[in-house]
Amino acid sequence: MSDHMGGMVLHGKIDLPFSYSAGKTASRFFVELRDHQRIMGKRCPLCRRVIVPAQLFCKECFVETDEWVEVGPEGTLVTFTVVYHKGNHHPKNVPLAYGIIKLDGADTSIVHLLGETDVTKLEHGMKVRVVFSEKRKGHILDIECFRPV
Amino acid sequence: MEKKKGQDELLRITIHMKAHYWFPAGSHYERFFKEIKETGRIMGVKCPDCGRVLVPPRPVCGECFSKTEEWVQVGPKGKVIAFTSIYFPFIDGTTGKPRPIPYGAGLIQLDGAFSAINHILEEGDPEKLHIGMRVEAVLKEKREGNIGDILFFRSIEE
Repeated sequence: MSDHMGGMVLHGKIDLPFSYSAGKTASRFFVELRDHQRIMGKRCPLCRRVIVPAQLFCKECFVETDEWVEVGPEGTLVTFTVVYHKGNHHPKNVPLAYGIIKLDGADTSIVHLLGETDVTKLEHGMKVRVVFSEKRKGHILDIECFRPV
Repeated sequence: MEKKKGQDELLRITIHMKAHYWFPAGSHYERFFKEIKETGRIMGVKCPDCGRVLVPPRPVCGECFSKTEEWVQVGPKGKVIAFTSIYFPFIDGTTGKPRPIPYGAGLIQLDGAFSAINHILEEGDPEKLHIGMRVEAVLKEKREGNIGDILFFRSIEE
């Protein structure tokens, strides 16, 4: 694309390689994905919520979470969006769908890809199940996607 | 839960964020960038109601909701109204490479403008930077019609 209705079109390019230390809690969350194909949350000792992905602190109670809890592998699709506009910042080709998934046993939801389905068949409240990647390296994409059950 | 191998491993997560996109400039930005490219002038628009000169130019005044159609030249000199010094070699998202440190970043109110623009300051020493310091836009020789045509702002003596 070189013009847009005859007007000027600017080419924007964002190119940011970076890395960060995951810290003890997120590291264990990713190690569990990688080595055991388990999704882990942490429970707040005060409000008892299970926070997923595992967080070191409960942001409601300002206390350290202390109990590791396995959640999933199934959950409920709380909401989703379908992407038809292609872009190389997406990990998959379009059309693709991103969902907010509340895993069984969790009190918070995670954002991830929805896959192995026709995007037009997605529905709020449907049951979904995690699909792990074959090659896992300790990263959120060790979860390949969630598919409808 | 029993202790498993690897459980206490600490990870470093590597991400390469890439987003390439096309951005239709709209009539006001188009004229703004064309003026910089072709004449080296920085232009703003004046609101017919409140009289504020908006830079970069906006087609509608955010206070009055009036259409802005009167073009006025601003700068290239102006004053720093806020700044920060950067010593960490961040990756510049537009090039994928770090910019030489130290450098400054600030809000610059160009002469004749009401609003301020966010840009790079050549001076990076916090001892030398100050609010109200006079600066001047340094433009690229070969301009392409984008915000990178202003390379940075250098401090000037007046």
